[in-house]
Amino acid sequence: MFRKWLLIFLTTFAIGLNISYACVGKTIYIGHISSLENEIIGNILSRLITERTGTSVKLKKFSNTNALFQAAVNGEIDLFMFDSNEIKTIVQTTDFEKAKTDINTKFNLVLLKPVYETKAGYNVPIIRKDTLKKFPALPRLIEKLNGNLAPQIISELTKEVDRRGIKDIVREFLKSKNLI
Amino acid sequence: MKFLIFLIFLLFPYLSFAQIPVKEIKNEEVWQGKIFIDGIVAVRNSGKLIIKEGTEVIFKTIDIDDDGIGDSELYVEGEIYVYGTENFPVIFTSDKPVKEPSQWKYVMVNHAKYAYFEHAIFESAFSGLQIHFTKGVVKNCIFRSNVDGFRFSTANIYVCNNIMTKNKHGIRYEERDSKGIIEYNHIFDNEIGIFPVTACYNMVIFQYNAIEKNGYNIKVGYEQKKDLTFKNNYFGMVFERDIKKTIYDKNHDKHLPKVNFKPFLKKNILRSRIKCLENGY
Repeated sequence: MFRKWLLIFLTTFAIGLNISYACVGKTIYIGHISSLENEIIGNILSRLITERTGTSVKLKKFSNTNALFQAAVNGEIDLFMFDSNEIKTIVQTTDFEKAKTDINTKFNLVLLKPVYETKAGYNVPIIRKDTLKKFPALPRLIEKLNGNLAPQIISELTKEVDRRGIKDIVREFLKSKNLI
Repeated sequence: MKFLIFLIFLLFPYLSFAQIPVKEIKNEEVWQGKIFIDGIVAVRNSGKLIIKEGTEVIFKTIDIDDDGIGDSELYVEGEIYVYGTENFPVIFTSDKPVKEPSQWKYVMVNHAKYAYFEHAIFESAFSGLQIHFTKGVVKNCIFRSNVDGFRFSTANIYVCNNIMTKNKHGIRYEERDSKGIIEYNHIFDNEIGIFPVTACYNMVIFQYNAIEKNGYNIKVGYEQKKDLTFKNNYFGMVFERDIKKTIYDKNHDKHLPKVNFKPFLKKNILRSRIKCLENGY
């Protein structure tokens, strides 16, 4: 009985405190590997989402793909880009469609449509299932990068970084594509 | 054990708040002169806060949760009456000499009894003023150098003759069950003049505003479904094709709804006649 009342009290208390917390808005965490190219891609995703939906986005860097993937599985990040071949390696299959299903059932992650082709595969956005429930419009928004991003474009953006900051470059890029 | 884990989960937000000092106002309180807010001041349901002309409300710049947004805030669940005057406005600002967005959090009016703001200046906040689930009047105020100047949802509001400038968003809103009038405001030099994020149904009427010289005068949020109406506003231009370029809607992205802005004003009405309703909406 005591536990029941304690629970009711604490639930009410916690909800009350959350009011203030919630009104700054929801935050999406995007993960990326610690390299300039990936940082640019992360910033492109971040800027696109925050400018178009008003949602706050934060970026988190990881030293390798395993740590990045594990962070998504653990719920430390909501969204990240991954190479299609690495996905196949993780779920140990050569069939991409099977990999898609396995990732979903085993890890609660959803593969979105590939954004661009790499040398040997595709760069694919991956989102946590629970994040997708909260932000159902995200796949369609991220799809807008399809056809606008390519390794060559990222390489060009990378060269620009020394002259101007990543944020300015990303903003101009998205503006030039009429995406923001 | 499960019970203990659940308790920790419930109290998690509190743990991050635990270090932020909270002062509660449960009765009537009058502010004048210089008021320093270090942490959270909460006007509880039974409280009533009156802020007199010329008062400076200064929020200490602290960021305990390290989210890049200052933690000091004024949170209102009861009543708030801000009575600035043209010569002696009430100022809500940070303690920093150089004012930048997000140095403090916001004045948040949420599920409150009533809110009245006249001749107030909101600067260097995450959101200057947010009103939710409350009836309120905002007149003759200035919102400058914030992320969101003025933000609302599900509110019954009258917003008249304010200036929104140098914010990321001059006005940001999710209409939901809101109703009201937003008129005679000058919204300029913001990244986005007006940002209808989602769930907007044209129940809040925007009219006779000057919405000009913003990155986009209006930018429709990606999750907004219904076409929006912004009739009888001035956009700083006389040709329809030029105005269209300043509105990010279906013309820019086929997945977005349209913004209907015709008829539009060809002269800035704010230079000639402003008649705010005496007691608001």
